[in-house]
Amino acid sequence: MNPKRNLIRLHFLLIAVLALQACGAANAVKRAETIEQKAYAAEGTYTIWSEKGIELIERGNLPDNISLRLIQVEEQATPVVDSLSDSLEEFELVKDEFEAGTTGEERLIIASNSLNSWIERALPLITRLKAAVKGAQ
Amino acid sequence: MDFISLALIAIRGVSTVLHNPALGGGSSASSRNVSNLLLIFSDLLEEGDEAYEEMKEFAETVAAMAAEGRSPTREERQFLRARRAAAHERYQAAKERILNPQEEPTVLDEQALETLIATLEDIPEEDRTDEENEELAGAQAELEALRNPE
Repeated sequence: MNPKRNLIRLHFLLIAVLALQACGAANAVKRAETIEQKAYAAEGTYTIWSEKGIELIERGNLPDNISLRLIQVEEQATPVVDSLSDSLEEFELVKDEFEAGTTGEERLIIASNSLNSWIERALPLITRLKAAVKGAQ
Repeated sequence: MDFISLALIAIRGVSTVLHNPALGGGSSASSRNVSNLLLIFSDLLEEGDEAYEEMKEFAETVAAMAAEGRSPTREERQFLRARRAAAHERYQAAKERILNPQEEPTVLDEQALETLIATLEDIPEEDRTDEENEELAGAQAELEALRNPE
């Protein structure tokens, strides 16, 4: 067999092992306990991957079609993550009011459900961006 | 030096070899493609490594937050938002660069300007087109500016 090909296969294998190692840990969302922490963890995870994606594009080694794909994923995901952020802000306000006794439980439940739904919407988009960055790959 | 740094050096080394026939690599299109692919992979691996380290650090911050039973502060949330907005602007700038690439204006040195002026002046004035006249005037102004920067 062609030794050059073997060398290439070995390197691809090495990359795959390292990628698997990286996937197994460092999951901020899993380490969060409350809904606010989960929202913040999702937002932070997205922000980090978003920055990595643009750094990759700016290095200039990616083919244009892959860069454009990353840009498209970011354009679709960022408004959702911004809404998640707004929803977290709103939840914190309502929670403060609830704790101060100036609002009822019903409003807190509504804010909580809304935040939860934004987290649910954002998570697949975060996975998509992460896959686009890794898989630009 | 950690394992990933070594892997990056190895991948970039293989890529260089594959790209260079003098080092035993191929000159075929497939060799160049594999070489370019390896370069992309090494960039991704490097970014992936940095992202992993950053994610690990961030996950620890969230875990500490959970252990303390506190919510993210307004400053922490605003910091993320500002970073995301800055990244978004960079994405938009990259999109603009890819979709509307602009040619870098050619900067001529003094000698090149003199040659250009001489060539254009060789054309009899009555035969010069408007464009050539404009180019001549521009080159003369540029040369003047080069010689007298103030």
